[in-house]
Amino acid sequence: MTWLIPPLIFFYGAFLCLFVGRTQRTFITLLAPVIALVSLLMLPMGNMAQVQFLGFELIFIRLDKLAFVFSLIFIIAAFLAAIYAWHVNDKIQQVSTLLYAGAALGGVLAGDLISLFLYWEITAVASVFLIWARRTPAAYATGMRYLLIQVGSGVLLLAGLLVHYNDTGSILFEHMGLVSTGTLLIFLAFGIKCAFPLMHNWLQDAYPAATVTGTVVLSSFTTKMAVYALARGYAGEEILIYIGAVMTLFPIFFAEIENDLRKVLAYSLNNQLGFMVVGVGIGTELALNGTAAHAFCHILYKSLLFMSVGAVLYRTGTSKASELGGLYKTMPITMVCCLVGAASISAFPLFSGFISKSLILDASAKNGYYLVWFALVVASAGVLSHSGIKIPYFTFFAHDSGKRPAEAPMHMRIAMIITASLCVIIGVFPSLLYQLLPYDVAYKPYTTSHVLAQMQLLCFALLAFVFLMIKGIHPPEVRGINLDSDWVYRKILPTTLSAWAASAMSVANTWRIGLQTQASEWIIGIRRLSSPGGLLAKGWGVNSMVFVVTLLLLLVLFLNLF
Amino acid sequence: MAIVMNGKKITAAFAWVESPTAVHMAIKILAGLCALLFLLDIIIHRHTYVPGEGMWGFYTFTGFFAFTLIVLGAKQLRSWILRDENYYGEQSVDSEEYPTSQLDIQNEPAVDRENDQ
Repeated sequence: MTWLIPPLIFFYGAFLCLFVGRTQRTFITLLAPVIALVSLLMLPMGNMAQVQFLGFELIFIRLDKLAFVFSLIFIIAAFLAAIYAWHVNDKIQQVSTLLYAGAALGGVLAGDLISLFLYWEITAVASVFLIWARRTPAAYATGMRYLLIQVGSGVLLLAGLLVHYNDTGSILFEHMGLVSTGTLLIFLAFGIKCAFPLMHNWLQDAYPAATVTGTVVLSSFTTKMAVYALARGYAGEEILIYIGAVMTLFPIFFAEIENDLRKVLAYSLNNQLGFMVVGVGIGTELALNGTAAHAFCHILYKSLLFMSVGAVLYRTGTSKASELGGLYKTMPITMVCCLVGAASISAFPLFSGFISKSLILDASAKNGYYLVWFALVVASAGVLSHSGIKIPYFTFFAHDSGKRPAEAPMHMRIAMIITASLCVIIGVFPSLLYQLLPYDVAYKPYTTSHVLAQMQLLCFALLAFVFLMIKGIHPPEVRGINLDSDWVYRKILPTTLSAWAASAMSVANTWRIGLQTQASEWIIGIRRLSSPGGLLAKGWGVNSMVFVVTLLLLLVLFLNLF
Repeated sequence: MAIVMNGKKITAAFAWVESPTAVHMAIKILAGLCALLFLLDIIIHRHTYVPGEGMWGFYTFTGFFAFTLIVLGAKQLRSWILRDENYYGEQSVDSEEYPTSQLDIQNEPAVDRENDQ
């Protein structure tokens, strides 16, 4: 059974893909998640696949309800992405997708920190190929930046786990809390992959640079693996509540003015992660259920949104809002699916976001984090602005761009329709998802007060949108990029460093020239001494020689006195 | 309205979206819904956890003003951080088009559009 654990099935698939033709590869990408699902369902709860390695006991499978719900959604996401990518005839992308999905699954199932580290690094290396597969110089540069940060996170994890092992003698991946240097390093490693504020830029930089299908795959795994890792290791760590609250708020502003819709979605992904991180920080059973549920729903609606924008990019060649508009005429199915995704992320009642986000909001209110709760309410209105309205409105409606693209290909439509159906099914029958959650908590999302409050929030936010549009206050979509904190390492540091390098070079040059001049003067002096007529070259008399020898002998005698 | 695509004339689903009457109607429906939701706050007592949450119209005001402030804040932010697409040069995908060889672009020009009279 050890050889048939779910992550390995993806790895076998990736290996097989190396040697077979296009059709077989496509089937393997579809089949691997199905077999992995069967394998997951057959696994008993508890630890499995334990391997002795250099005196450590590695636990490759630790299955409990928290790991199960994340594993399940990872497998579903891999399957849906495979349908969406049916047209892809690119061995690199197919192999790396399988490796990446398998590694993310492995990370979620890992029971010790060493195997977690192993999978942590495989996700980094496998996923970068989804960016490089775009095959442009810019994609290569972006991929390098992404890889540097991802591998950096792995190095921090390794350093943290070594220090942690030194402190405690244990490599078990369990609740750690922020108690030592080791756990702090591991926390930072998780924080990078979870896109904490100021560690977030890799996400908005890299995801929009990936291929059409690559972005859909990328959006599901890395960040949610990090959320799982935080929930496993740092549940109830209060600082996470505030980090999460900041994460829900600041990306909204960037998403609102961003022109590239895939980057808008990357910012919106960041904002959704904030809700999950708040849940982890609160750490109660209700809050952790909220985090797991929200991750589950989020992977579905975020994939759906990336799929619909991807389909638009696939048909029109651009995902920039300023170039799009009026596409509902020829892409009605994509439009409806996008609207379902938008309604789900905005948490309209009867859609999936509503039944998961409310758990986290209620947990923050019940535990007395009122300011954080208010931040989440404001952020919910913000989600509506960039993902609920901006994405569908500027793509499919707004001004007529004149583009008349054909509807998305059949397989893309199938993938989007299934994903959209899942969003609605979960929204209408929340108990289907609730029974999968880590803790048994009786929670009713559909109460009158709750539905009323959410509808009031969203409808009045919509009203504000209409008001701002009519008054012409809403900012138009314009071409351009918006600076974010990556400006520091992409512009300021390189510029400053090269200025420093230039001044250091000029100082070095001055010194070099000075030394050279000095040295050549010395050489001329020595030459003068030894040239004909010089002090050293002239003939010495016997008297003088005897005098010098006597002096030397006296010196020796003197030294011998001591 | 009809659109000619690949030589075939197709009627756009959801074409009503564009007619001014439909847009006005949609706005009216939204305004009506908002008014209804606002009034429901008097009739229905919401269960609350947070001080002030039970205040009349709490969510309506929060929704409207949060949205407005976010948009205004973002607009201000744009004035500070907007740069040209080529700002980072070849190091950034913003400066390039998506390679068309990997896409299946089927994009009929708009001149084919005609209105049903």
